[in-house]
Amino acid sequence: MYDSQRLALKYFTGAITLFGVMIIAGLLAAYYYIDPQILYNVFDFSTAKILHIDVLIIWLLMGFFGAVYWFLPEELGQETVGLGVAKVAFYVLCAAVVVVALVFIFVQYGKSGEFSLWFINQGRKYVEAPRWASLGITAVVLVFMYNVIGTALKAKKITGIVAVLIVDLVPLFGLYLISLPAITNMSVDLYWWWWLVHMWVEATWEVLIGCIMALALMQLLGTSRRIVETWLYIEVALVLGTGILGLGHHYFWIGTPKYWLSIGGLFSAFEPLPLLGMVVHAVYDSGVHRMKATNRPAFYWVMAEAFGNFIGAGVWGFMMTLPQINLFSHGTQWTVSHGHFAFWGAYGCGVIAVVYLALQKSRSVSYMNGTAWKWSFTLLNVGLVGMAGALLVAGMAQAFYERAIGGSTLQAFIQAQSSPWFMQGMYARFGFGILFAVGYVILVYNLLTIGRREPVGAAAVAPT
Amino acid sequence: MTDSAVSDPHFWRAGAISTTVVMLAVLAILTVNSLGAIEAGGSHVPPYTVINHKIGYGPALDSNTEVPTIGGQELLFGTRYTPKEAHTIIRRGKLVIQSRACMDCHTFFGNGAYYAPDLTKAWLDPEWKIWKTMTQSKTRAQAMKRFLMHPERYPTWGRRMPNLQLSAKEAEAVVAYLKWMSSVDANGFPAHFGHIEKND
Amino acid sequence: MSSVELLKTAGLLGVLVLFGGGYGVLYAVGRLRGQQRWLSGGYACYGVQVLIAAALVATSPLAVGWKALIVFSVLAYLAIPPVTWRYLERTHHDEDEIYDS
Repeated sequence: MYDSQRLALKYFTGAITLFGVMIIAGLLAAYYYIDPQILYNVFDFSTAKILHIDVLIIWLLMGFFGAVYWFLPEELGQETVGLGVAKVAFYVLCAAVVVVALVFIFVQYGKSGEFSLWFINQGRKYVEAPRWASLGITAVVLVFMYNVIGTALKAKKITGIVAVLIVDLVPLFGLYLISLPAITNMSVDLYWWWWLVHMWVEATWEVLIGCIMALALMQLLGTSRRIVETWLYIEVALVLGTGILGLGHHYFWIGTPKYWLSIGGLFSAFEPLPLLGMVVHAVYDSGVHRMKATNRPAFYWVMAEAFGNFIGAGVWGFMMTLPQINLFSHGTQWTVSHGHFAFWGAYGCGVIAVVYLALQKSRSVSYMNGTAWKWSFTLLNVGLVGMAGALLVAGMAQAFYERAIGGSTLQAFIQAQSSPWFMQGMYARFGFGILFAVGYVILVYNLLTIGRREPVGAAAVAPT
Repeated sequence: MTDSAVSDPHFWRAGAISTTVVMLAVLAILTVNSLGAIEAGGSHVPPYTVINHKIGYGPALDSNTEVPTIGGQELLFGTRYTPKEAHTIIRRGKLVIQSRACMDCHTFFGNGAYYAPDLTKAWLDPEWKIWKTMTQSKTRAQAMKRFLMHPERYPTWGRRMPNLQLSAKEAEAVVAYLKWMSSVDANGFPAHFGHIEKND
Repeated sequence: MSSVELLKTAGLLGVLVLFGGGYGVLYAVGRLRGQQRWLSGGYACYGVQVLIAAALVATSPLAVGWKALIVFSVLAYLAIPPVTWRYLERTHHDEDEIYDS
């Protein structure tokens, strides 16, 4: 096993651990909706939410880094360059995450001024981490870029997939710098902030997970390089072709000119189309390569990725993307429903698939299967779909009562939040969140144990 | 062996590169135009000295949405802010909003968290009439300031705003920020602000 | 847009894409297994998608431009599964040819 792959396993451990932290913070945040009196003035909803969404970003990033450190040396036939620095960066990242989280939990906020922004809380969604930590994450991303580019240079070799990855890393790094400034004008702040958030999760991350899936499919299904490369380029063309101006669907209501309503609505309405192609592709792969899939959990999680992406990002997104609808749904639980489903389908499932692939290799398992992974797969996906469904009901109720009927005032907000459909949605969301959490516990148990006892060979377990 | 272009990865690589470049170029042009419109004093975003004026919300002339209206003088906390003073207090307001992570309970232009109400038009909310009485304030601004400094004294409903230790200056800055923000033309967001749908 | 029109329109838009997905999946399964009934199921889903688009055009309060966008999208949905499938077979076939030759 390459040293780079050992580092990858560390990143996967960090990722799955933070996935659990995210779930705990999420359950707590969800519980405030049910019992708003808890921890009043001791631990606010905002702190739980910050932990939930910031850890989301970090665990997925760690999963991506782990995936690249795993596949890169095999892809280029060369041990990853600069691993010494990379290992230090990993531990620095972990330490920074812990310190930032502890400050969020125990200090929570400071006075308005530079000190708070540098050391406590920057207060911009997803990038609340204080500036010192933002700079730290930037440094870790730079080390990552150095590792990837340095390895390609040393190997004197570049594949199509690695080339796309390297080009993608430039905006991945550059856009993150938007987390640093404090901009007075909220319209300008949000204009640039959306470059970071949208162009990460609806552009550069899509390309990044595309590269990772290309590398994974070559290993999982034995697909040829030429085929995955062709489809990677097609995906990049379609995703960036729709997603770059699809950014405009965040520019409907922040004070920007009206042409964004047309441009944003038009391009984001096209965004589901490439996802439909991915679903067709996934069915093709499941049939044509079925006999070659020696890792059942990884295969199923890759399928979940394609379908989850289409439904969570495509179906849910299309429901709310036209400006005539979005005027009512913007900033409601409808958005939360879409966010949970899309992040899970587009990224969560993919990272879990890659972890199973890595474990198959690192534990030398010729045929990876079992029972526990099926339980965690079912519970996690049923839990997630249940949460998204419950939030959709609550969000539609909110859009209906607060915005369409009530006139979007404080009273309208209170009435909508108190309505039976909304409250039942909140209870159901919490219940499905518990299911999801149980699925996570089984996932951890499975990842720790799968393939560790007798080698799970084809003779021992009949393929299902 | 086939030499069809569509099976050739390089064909699609060229497609990916050209698509991306074209889209980025269009985005760059639109960005320059939008930034001009949204800077304070631009076509969509009033200058910070708007806090010296009465702000309303009325029907737009050219569409069936509503737009903010800027009226005559209506001083905030009895002060007529110069452009520099207005910029200072608005800047402080934004620093308070960031340092207290308001966006992790509330939304601004619908962005943030959804546990607490959207604040885009909070300055214009009809609820402040009642709050003036509750907080024993003469003006809306004073009611908002008193609420922000001691939200635990004025419970809203089941969900209560926590006390975030705002100083008097910080609370005034947030009020100024909310007043300025309500004057931004957000293309009709939030929907039908202040109007309740009639059942025919 | 009234409150009821809001929920109706949004619901139809979501279901439009969902049936597009159903068409894609059933079409692909039908091509994979060479079985007509799956293909027919796929086309039935597409038929429902067309009906939903028609309902949106006829009854929703969206402006003409947006209705045209929906019509155009639905036409694109028709093409995507067969075109994708054809290119998948083509690229894999070309790959086999390279190995065989």
